[in-house]
Amino acid sequence: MASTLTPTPSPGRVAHRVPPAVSLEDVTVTLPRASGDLQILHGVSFKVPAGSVVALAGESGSGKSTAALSLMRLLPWGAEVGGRIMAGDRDVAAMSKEELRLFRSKEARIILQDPWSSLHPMKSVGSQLIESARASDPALSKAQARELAVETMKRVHIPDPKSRLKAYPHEMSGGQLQRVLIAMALVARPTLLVCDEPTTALDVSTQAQILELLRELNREMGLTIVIATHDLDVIAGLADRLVVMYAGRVVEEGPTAQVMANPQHPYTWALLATAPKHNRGERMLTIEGRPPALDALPPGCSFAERCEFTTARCLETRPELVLVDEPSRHRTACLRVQADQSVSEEVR
Amino acid sequence: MSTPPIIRTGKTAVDPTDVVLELDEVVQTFHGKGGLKVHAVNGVSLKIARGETLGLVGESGSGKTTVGRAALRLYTPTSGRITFEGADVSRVKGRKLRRILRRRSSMVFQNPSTSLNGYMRLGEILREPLDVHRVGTPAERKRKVEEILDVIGLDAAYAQRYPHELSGGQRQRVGIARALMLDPSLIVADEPTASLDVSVQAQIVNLLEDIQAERGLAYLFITHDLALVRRISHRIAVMYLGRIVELGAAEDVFARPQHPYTASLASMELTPEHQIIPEGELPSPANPPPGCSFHQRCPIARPQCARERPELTEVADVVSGQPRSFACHFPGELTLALADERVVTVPPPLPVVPALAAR
Repeated sequence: MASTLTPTPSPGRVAHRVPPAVSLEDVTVTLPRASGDLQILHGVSFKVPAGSVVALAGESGSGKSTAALSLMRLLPWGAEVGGRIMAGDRDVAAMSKEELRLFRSKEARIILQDPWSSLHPMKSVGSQLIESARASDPALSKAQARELAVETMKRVHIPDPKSRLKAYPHEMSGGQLQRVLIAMALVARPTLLVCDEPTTALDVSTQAQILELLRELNREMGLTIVIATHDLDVIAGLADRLVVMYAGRVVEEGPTAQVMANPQHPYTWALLATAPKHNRGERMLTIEGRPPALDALPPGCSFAERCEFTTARCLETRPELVLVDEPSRHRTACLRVQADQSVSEEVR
Repeated sequence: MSTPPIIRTGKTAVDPTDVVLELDEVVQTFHGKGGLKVHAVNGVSLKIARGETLGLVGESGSGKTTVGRAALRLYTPTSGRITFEGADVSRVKGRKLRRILRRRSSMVFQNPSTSLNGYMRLGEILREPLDVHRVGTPAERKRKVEEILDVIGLDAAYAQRYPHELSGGQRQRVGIARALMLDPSLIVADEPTASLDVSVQAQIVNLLEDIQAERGLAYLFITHDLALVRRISHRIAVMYLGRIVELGAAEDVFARPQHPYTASLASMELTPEHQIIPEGELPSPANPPPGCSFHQRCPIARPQCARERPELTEVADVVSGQPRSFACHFPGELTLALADERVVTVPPPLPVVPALAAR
């Protein structure tokens, strides 16, 4: 029994401590419904380099949460997954039940949007932390797990962690609870952290504190972090790469700074321009209309109906993701951009 | 869905002497378990003029929602005075309350999915305020419902629909329409866009601004979205632990914050290295700290701050000359890093590709 409080791993699990590069390769997710199957993801591919922070952005219904949750195969009952979900050299989509259980308890952990409903209201915070720690490493004794819990709470900057262990969720504020949830993930010493809108339910200053904490964990512990969010500005300072999703597809992907400073897809541009922060005009810019229903996607570009730059071709031909910038692997799926590219190639 | 016509651009002109609502030293205390007294609102004074939007910002627990609810007399204030259109409404009850205040004010809630009755058709939801206040004949009420649906850009056929058939943005439009049914002079909007997507948020804001320009409505706009409040408000009040700590014209407050708490809020728009993140959490309103309530988290606090509570004092802004007030012993000491590029840069639209530009 080599388990101690320092993050020295017990023998036999060393290989898993190196953060894996995670990637989705042409992933499709289909939900069975009485009225016919509903396809939520249509061939989503993106890579998360080891130790990096990647943000998935889009409106509600764009598939960003589904894409994030599919990394851990946390999908609604009966969901059919196609394609490959790679964590390191293993395919999450093909894991057996037991492998998946171990993967979720030891390596990949999740933080959800609403901290109030993510914790058991009738168990103390401490017992939930201990449970989480021992789920990941059954060799830990209760006392060891408790000490690990205290250390981790200190790590996420919860003041007076020892006495806070006895607190119940309702006795803590939203920001504190979100820290507890992060601690619950960290006691497992995971290598991948999936966050589904981790700050949406929180105040601005609390939001900033939580993002700061995630940034710190990424830098100091080398955690690979995937965040689904609808607020591009929130993750601008945190994410290395940005994946913009629309109607179950990736429409743009690239390094955050580059995508935000020079968006190639009209949807990315519209998302940025409609945020109150940039919306400084006399009248606010809006994206008119709504995303298409997932069971009635148009044959062409899904965004064509709401796009300012739509041409006849956009309504017929579905654009594929293509590279717009080779070294940074900035990709976008827009016919206009592709036309622009081929024009410049001809010139060359 | 048709778009509401463009009525105006920019903020409406306001005559600050034409006051719709005035709160004077309003205190709202709630009684908790074991004789615990929670001063949710602790002496708040503010005025809202016709056609003006007053943005109220603060953390959860700062008392901003309580101020909004107190303004509409959903509570009876523990002390202080609430004046609405010249009449003192702090203690009125029953029919008089309905006639003076309820008939002339309304509220838009945060979550349109839970604030509309799922068993009622939109027509019924919108007609209900008219029924309650016995306004007009049935035919007139029906016509009014159709008119208001047109204002919010929904087809008249929507009167027969149920809330669940609508998108989040459409539901919030209905929430706004319901608030407009009685032609109020004041609307309290409590985080009306918080549960909506960014693109839909902008539509709702445009609608609220159009309605204000057309009808001269006053808004008390409660939010924690700073970029939004800065855009929509004429003036902004910053609340901290039940008190207003800073109040002034929207341009001034965030550009030249005087109170360190406002400075930290304003800094959230800057890049992470320039953000001033206050440590710790909002203290409990049941047990507020002595002196300045922000002193425990304040980066520039001095011993004086722990002893004496700073009073809200009014001065003229050094640049704009507009009145502003703040409650701090060392105003303006905590300054923002110079506005960096990211704040002003609006991402450029795509270059139009000539070969494809023709539709």
